[in-house]
Amino acid sequence: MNEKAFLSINNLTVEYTSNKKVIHAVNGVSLHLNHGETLGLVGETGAGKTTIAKSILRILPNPPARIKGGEIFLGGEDLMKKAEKEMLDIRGNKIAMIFQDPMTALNPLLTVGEQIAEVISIHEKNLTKDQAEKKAMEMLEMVGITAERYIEFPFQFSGGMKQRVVIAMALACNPQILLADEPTTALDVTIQAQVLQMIKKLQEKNGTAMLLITHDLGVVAETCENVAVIYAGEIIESGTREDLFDHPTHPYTCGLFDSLPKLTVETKRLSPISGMTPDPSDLPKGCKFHPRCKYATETCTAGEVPNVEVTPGHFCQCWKCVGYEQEGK
Amino acid sequence: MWKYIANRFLWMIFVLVGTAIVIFTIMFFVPGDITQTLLGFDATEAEREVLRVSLGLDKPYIVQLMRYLYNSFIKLDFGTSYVYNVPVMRELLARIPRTLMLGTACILVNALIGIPLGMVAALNQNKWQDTLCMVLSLLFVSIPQFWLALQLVDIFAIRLNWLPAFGIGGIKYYILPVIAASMAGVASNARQTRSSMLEVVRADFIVTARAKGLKENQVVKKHMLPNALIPVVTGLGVGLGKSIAGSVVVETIFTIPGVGMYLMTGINSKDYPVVQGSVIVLAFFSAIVMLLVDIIYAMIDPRIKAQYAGRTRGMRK
Amino acid sequence: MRKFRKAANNSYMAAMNSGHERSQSLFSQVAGRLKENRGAMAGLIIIILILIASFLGPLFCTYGYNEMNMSQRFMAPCLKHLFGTDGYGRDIFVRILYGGRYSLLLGLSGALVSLLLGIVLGLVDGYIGGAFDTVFMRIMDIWSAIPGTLLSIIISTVLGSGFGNTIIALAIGSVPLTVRLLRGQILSVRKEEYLEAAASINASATRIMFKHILPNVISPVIVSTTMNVGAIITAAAALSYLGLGIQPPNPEWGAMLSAGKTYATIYPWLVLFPGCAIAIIVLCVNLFGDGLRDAIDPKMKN
Repeated sequence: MNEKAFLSINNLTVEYTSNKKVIHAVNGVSLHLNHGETLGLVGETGAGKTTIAKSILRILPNPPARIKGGEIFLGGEDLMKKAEKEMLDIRGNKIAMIFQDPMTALNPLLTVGEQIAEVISIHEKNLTKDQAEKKAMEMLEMVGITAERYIEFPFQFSGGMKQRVVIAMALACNPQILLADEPTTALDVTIQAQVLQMIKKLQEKNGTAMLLITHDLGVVAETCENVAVIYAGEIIESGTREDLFDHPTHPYTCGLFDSLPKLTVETKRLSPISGMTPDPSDLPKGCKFHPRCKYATETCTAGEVPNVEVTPGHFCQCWKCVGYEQEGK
Repeated sequence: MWKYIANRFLWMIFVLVGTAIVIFTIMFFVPGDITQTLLGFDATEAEREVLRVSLGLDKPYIVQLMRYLYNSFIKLDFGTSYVYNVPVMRELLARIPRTLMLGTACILVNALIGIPLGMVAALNQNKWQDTLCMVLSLLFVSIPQFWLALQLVDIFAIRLNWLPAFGIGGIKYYILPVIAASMAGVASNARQTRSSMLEVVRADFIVTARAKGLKENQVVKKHMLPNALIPVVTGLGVGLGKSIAGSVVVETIFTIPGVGMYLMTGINSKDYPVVQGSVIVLAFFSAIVMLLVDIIYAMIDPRIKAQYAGRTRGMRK
Repeated sequence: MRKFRKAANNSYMAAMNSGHERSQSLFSQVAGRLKENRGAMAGLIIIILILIASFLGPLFCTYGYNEMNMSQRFMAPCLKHLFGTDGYGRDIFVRILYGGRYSLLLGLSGALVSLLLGIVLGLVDGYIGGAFDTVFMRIMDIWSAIPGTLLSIIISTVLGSGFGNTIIALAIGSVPLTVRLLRGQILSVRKEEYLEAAASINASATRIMFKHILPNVISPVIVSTTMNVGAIITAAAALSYLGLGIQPPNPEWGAMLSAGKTYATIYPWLVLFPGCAIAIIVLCVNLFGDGLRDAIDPKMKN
């Protein structure tokens, strides 16, 4: 485990103020990412996933959003305490981000080549313009786009190709950590597989660690060694892929797996999780999932839910788990 | 790129000819007859008929139209003023420079004051700079131009005697007219710039730019501005069309002997050649500005450039 | 086959009805947001007050709007004549109140006429499309190449002064804008599948146009028309000022400005009140228009 690439989020809390309402987007989230590994962050839309990623890079829109507390350690240094100038050095260079919607992620007025070369020139200041251009073309080739398309504009590419450009831009400076925010959600299923494969290949080649944000359990199964499930701004279960897929413990996680349609079983109706995700400006007291949980008891309606280590490395934030740690459900 | 310019230029000619046809047709169907005005009430019908034939007013519509178009665009002869018996073209040529100066000054003021104002408002959204700019803009967009002109003349020319109230001469004669004519345009430009900047500020590719480690002022310069300017440039063009019309009123108030005032004189005395000629010239200015706007537009936005220059290699969108 | 048709019909009706429900709550959503915008509400209230004042006010005034009294010419504002008197001894206050009728009526009817013309032309063009569309848009281009106010001036000259003629002159300039807006929306909506579904069950052309296309494209058109009212009120005043449009002795504010300008330096109230009146009404219309636009498309605020 290379100490330098170790990313550690401790108790991150982020809120948005909009129209006098306070939206509790992230509530005390703790995550750990090891060198070279992929951590999947799974959750529904609005659970706070993108906010976490943007908090790491500190590119949250500042008037509405505010980081209320927590620390984010990158190789022993707290990113929250760094000056803006130091963050400029980290963004795109040590930590890079891939965004969800490729259609709007690129500047429509600049060529794709220019946009890749831009991130290279910012961080590798000793390169001349031509050298930066050449490197950008290499990146294009690496993601499977011919180098001649350097001079083309985003509108001349399809969605999947645009996403590849975004990936090329993210990996251009060989970052230690890649934050991938639902990189394949906006793409066709067939393209999804291609793009995922490519990301994985490049990741393995360069030893980059990746935080893969997604709501798709299938994607998680294919690419992530470790998984964390987020609900209403809290990590309610985390562990290795095997832990979660073979032994889902938290009622929400179980509900997620149950709601997946199965080819092998004959069913007439899908079984979604009943109820709706809570309004982040008006969260339930106690366990945030209790209004929808079929195992909910009196204890669940108040107080802080304990984080139980069900088996080594497999954590679950649920009252039900207390007492299970010996058995390892 | 040149194909695009040539394309738009031909288009402009087409629009001008179309405008001439429309104006001619409208004037043609005005009830009443110019002969009455020229000869007075006690002229006999026979005398009027003679005049009509000599002016060519007895021929059918199409013939008159064709003759008019030929004269105007090929021979560049807009006819002779009914009232003053002076070739319209000669008058227009003398007056065009003044209207041009007024118009150009207006565009410059619009662009150089309106756009930065809008940007400041957008970048300081909801703070005092924003509120101030927006309140002022709303105010100036609502105040009628001619009333503003009257008040300016009243305060600065008559009471304070700082600037002249009418006529032409040096720069100082143009200061009040330009202010009166451009205030509304500056205000509407500021509003337009602000809203298009706001759209760009929240755009995804701006977040991408920040995530790459770009300094904030680089983000604004390289990514926000060019994208925000596109609708603003279009807005400038539209605003100029309004200025052209506004100049008619402003020239009248400040007694600037330009094309606009000539038009009003023609309207008031039912001097149709004058009206037609002036309208075509004003429409010409408007069309040139639109052409320039389109060209700038194409230079900035690669999507437009590609459409017309045929560089559509690869897929669209 | 009939059973299939019936099933398709049923799901079509269900889709239509649910769409209906959705657009109902959309309206109340917009209304809700609008209510919260203080500026827009203030503008609306003031406009309503002006409406009441201009139509009912003169009934309660001591003087008629055209009541001349040569011994009381050019009086400064005082208790007897709140806004003073003009060159004919007429009370300016009651003339301003009365003049409000012209601005409101001209503004609203001008915008409405323009809207209706624009909608009809736009729908027809959007529906027929093809070669007709190409030719029609060229005509629209020529139409909009002539600056609006200029066109209004010319048409007003040709038609003469008078209420109806002025409305036409004012409405004509803004038609191409509405047509273009509508056409743009229609073109993008045409590709939507629910139109194909409607056509597949033989819904008639007019039905498609009115029940399907119109509700979806109407919002930007509503916003632009509301903004247009302000411009038309100013244009109406400008026309009167230039000697076209509504003429004296009718107390249209622009005409009052024109009549008063000669003596404006000595008797500033002659032009102060009409000018402020125009500015205030246009300001309120613009405030409301801005608020409406923000309510329909709230993305801008945050």
